[in-house]
Amino acid sequence: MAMQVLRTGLTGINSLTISLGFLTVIGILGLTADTATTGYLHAMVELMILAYSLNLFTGLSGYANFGHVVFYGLGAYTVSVVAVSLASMGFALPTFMYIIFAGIFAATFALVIGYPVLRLRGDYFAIATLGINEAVRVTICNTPWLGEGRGIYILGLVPTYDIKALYIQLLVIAFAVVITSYLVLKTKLGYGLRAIKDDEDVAEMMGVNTAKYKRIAYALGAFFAGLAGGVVTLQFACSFPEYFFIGRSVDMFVSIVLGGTGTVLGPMIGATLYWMVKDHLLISFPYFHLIIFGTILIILVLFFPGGIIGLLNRFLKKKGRVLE
Amino acid sequence: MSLELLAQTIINGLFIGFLFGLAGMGLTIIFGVMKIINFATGAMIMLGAYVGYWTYTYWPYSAIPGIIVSVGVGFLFGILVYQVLVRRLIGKPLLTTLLVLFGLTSILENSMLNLWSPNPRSIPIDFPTYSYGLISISTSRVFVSIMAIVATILVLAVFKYTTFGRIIRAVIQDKIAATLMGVDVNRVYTLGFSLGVTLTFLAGALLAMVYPFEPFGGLPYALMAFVVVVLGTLGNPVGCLFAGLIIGTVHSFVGSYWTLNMSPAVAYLIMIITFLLRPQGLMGKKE
Repeated sequence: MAMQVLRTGLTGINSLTISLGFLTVIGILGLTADTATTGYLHAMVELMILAYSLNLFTGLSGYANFGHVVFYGLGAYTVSVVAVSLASMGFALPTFMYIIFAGIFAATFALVIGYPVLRLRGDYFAIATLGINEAVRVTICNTPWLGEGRGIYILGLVPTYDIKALYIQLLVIAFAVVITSYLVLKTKLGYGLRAIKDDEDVAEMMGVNTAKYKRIAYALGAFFAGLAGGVVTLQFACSFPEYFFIGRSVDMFVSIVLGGTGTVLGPMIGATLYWMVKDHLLISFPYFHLIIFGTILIILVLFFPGGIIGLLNRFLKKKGRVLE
Repeated sequence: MSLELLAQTIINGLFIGFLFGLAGMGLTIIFGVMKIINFATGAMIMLGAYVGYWTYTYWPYSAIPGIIVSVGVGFLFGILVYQVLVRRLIGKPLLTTLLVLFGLTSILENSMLNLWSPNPRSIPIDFPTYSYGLISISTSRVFVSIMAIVATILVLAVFKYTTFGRIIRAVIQDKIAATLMGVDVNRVYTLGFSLGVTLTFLAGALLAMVYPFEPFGGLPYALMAFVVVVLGTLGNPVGCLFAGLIIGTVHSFVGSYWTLNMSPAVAYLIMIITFLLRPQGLMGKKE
């Protein structure tokens, strides 16, 4: 979209302000409302963070990272492993430290597996990421000190049942990921990634360091997904192999496609709308919600590839403005 | 670590390998013809299993009708899915294909859940098991392997000796040149896609005779099929069969000497090593 601004001379609407304003409203709503509403908004903001983290790499570079949920799950496990091993030595850290550990571990893992995986393209990349997620899940399910299929419980090792405090930490992460997305989009990294999306060989020929750009964006996305995973472990006081459920990846994909891939505002609109629609479908049609959801997904992807942002831009362009 | 265990492991591995190879062949033909990875493979394998199972409950005397019905339904289903959905995906970005086929997967899985309940099912055919010394061979597995071999030979014969097969090979080799020679690409795509789906259904129907199945149980098999396809070179049916046998044997060895649960992880490790050392697969030529 920013490319369109460059090419056509359209005025870009400041998406960052809109996104941050929207997030602030959700934040205040969640902090003042009752616990049930806070829980609902908590899950929504978590999905938002995941959608943004996927958007950083997949949305901009066009690489279908179907196994993105692996970073979320690893973040979740990092928190419980660190909490348990520190507790066995008699230590405890403030909760935000655990979350930061989760992000750092996920990003490190991304850097390591990024070395072989980012050399693949297209279908191969999608299959490989899917495979890595399953491999990590299966390995955890069969490793005794990682709790096998039962998971690791950290009840009593960290402060629990304080959803408002966790919600604040989640909001801080959400603000950080929105601002990061905007900065990435507006700097050389973002332009390089979009050049890779258009044509990787040409981008490389024109002097874009494609390998480096891909690795940075991949690790950045993994970092934020890991942070979200860390929060979820603190919320439920345990981490178990279900966190690697591939449906979670799909939630993120639908969110960014619904909103508009590669934009600043898109993941937020997409995640909010998707979360509300999904919740509603699940309650109204418990036996058919996946059929309805699958149909909506297919129609959306086939006929509205630009998502909601793309639709809005059709009208805005006539007025010489564009959302990004 | 006796010799009997080793022999038993190899035999079991080859038996399951034929199934992996068959499922992979369905994927690889579709990829070869239209450069689309069928991400709905898992749901389609399960659907094939349920169609076989359903036929069997109405006519519980032999396994053959279930397989025939499953193959027929698979072919028609393939044509339907191609005409309604896949036709629109050709030339679209990968993300579009992925998400549309994922949408199809959720529709299929939810439908299966409503039709057949979430309980695991299996086809309770009473096949005898023969023992030779300490090695035992279940005739159900022998039957499944023979069916898989017959299907493979049929597909390869169609590829090699019929006009339709020659046309498909031409499209796999060079789509534009084939179009210039007067090949109706749309028709080839329709038939190629439904051939792939047919093989996937057949793999499901055969699988149902050896293993239990449930509506959401397709993903592990689909991932195994992906591994097989990558190892055996995308778009190469013969390579796929060999890769299926290799992966089946590895699966069986991991199960005998370590734990069967780790077998997927080992298979994905093989896949990643393949990507690194030989991205064109075992049968592929270096680009």
